[in-house]
Amino acid sequence: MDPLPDQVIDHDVVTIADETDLVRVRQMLRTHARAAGLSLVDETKLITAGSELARNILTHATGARGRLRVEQVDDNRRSGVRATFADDGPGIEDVEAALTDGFSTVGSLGLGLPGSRRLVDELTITSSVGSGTTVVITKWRR
Amino acid sequence: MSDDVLPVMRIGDTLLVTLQGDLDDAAVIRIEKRLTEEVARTGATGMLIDVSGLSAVDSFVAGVLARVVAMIRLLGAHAALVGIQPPVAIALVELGVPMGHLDTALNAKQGLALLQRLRRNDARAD
Amino acid sequence: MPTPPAGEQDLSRRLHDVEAMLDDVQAMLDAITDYAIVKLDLAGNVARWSRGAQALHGYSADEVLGRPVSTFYTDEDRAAGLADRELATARESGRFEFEGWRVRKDGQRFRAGVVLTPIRDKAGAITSFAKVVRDLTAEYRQAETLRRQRDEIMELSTPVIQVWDKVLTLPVIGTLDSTRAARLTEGLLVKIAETEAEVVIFDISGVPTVDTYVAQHLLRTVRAAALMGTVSIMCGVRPETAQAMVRLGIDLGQLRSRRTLRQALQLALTLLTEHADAAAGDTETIGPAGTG
Repeated sequence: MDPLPDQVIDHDVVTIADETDLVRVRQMLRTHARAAGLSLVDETKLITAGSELARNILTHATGARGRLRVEQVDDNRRSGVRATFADDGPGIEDVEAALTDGFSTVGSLGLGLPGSRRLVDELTITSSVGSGTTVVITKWRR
Repeated sequence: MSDDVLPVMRIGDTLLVTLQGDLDDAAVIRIEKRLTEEVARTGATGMLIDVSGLSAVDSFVAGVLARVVAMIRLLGAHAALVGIQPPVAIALVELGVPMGHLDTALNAKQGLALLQRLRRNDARAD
Repeated sequence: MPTPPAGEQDLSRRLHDVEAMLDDVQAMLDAITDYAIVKLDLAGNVARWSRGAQALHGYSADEVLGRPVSTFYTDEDRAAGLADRELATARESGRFEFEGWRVRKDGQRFRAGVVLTPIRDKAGAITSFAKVVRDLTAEYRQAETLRRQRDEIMELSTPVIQVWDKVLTLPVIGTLDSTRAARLTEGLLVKIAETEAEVVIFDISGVPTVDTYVAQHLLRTVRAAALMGTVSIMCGVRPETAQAMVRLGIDLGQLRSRRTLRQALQLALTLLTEHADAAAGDTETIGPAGTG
C-alpha cells in the first residue's frame, strides 16, 4: 500500500541475507521514496543505487549479516530518504580506490560504489578490514 | 514471477516478450533460459524484449539482458530491448553500466522496424 | 500612611523593586507580538504563554496552559510523534531550530520557524524549555514562487522542439548547472516518448564554453536517448569548441556532428528515410511461405 506523500514514516529495517531480500530492499526504498515525495527519476535512482549496495553485501560479505535501515529525513529546508547499508563482512581495505571507476575485485562491474554515488546526493562509507562496512546514502527531494 | 506467465507473442519471424514487475534474481535467470529456448524452438530470427514494465534495472538485470541478447545472436537471431523508461535510462547511464552495444528501440513498432534493418544489413554483409 | 519600621521599609522597597522588575519584564514580553514566546515543562506541556503566542496561534493562555505542545502540530505530525522527537533533540543537543507547519486555533496552517532551548537550574539539569516561534508563511510562499519562476525560466531556456515528424531539436542555451542539466535530460526523454522521436539534434551553438562537465552531461544524455532507440546528432560546434574538446580529450564516441542545424536536419531526414526504406523493403519479402 503506497502511503500518501505527507505521511511521516519513522524507519524500516530489512535483513539482507539472500537474493530474495533484494526485492524487499527495492520495495522498501520505493515506499519511502514515495512518502518523501521524490520525483520518479529520483525514486528510480535511489532504488537502483540501493539494489547495487544491497547486492554488494551479498556478493562480498558472504556469510556475514547484512542490514538495511531506511528512514525519512528532514533538515529544515528539505525532506528526503536516508538508507543505511551495514554488514559485518570482511570490510574494504582501500575505500578510496573502491570509489574510483574501474576498481574491481569480484565480478565485472566491481563494487558498484562509484555508480551508486553518482545516483544519490550523499554517500558515505565507513569500512575497515575485519570490522565490516556501512554505507549511508541520502536522496533529497528536489 | 514464474516463467509460466511470461507472455510470448509471435509476430512473423519475431518473438515479442514482455517482462514485468519486480523480478528477483532467480526469476531473471529462469527468463534468460526460457528466452533462448524459445528462439531455438521456434526458429525465430528476431526477438523483442519489452522492459517497459521494469521500474528499475540494476547492474545484475542489465548484465543478464546483455547475456540473453548475446546468446540469441549466437543462435542466429537478433534481439533488441524495447521500452526502456526515461527514469530507467537515466539511472542506467549514471550507474555506468555499458549498454551501448545493445540494440534498443522505443516500442514494439520501432523495434520491429529495427530488427528488419538489422536483418537487411546481415543480408547485405553476406 | 504611617512610616513602617526601618527593617520592614527595606523589605517592602525590595519587594517593590522586584515587582517593578517583573512588570518591566512582563511589559517587554507583551510588547513582542511578532514572536510567540512559550515556556514548556519537561513533558512538553505549555507552562507560560506570551501575548505574541496568542497573536500567532489564536489561543488565549487559559485555553492552552497545561496542554501538550503537539496541540499546535498538524494531524500527520502529531500522529508521527514529531513533537516528542523535537523535544528530545533539544534535550540532547542543547538547542534545536527547525521549520515546519503548525495549525492555528481556527484551523489555518502557517509555516513556523521554531527555536527550542532547554532551561537549566543551577546544577545544570533541564527543568523546562523556552520556545520562540515566528511566522514564516510569507517567506515560504515567496520562496515557492521564486522556485516556480525559476522552473519556468529553465523550461523556457531549454525547450525541446519537434522540428519534424520523429525529429526533435534541443537548442542548449547558456550554462548548465547540475539541476538544469538533469531537467534537460529528463525533459528530452519524456518528449522522445511522447513524440516517438527517432532522431535528436543537440544544437550547442548557444553554449559559451563546452568544458568536460558539459561534454560529460551531453554524452550521458545521448546515451540515455540511445537506450530509448534514438540517434543523436550534434550541431553548432564552433572552432573554439572543437579545439577545446579535442584538447580536453573529450571523446564523443559515435555522436555525429554537423556544422549547422540545417545540415543536421538533412542528416536526420536521411536517417529517417533509411529507416523507412528498410521497413518498406522487407514488407515485400514477407509473404506466404514458399514465395519471394
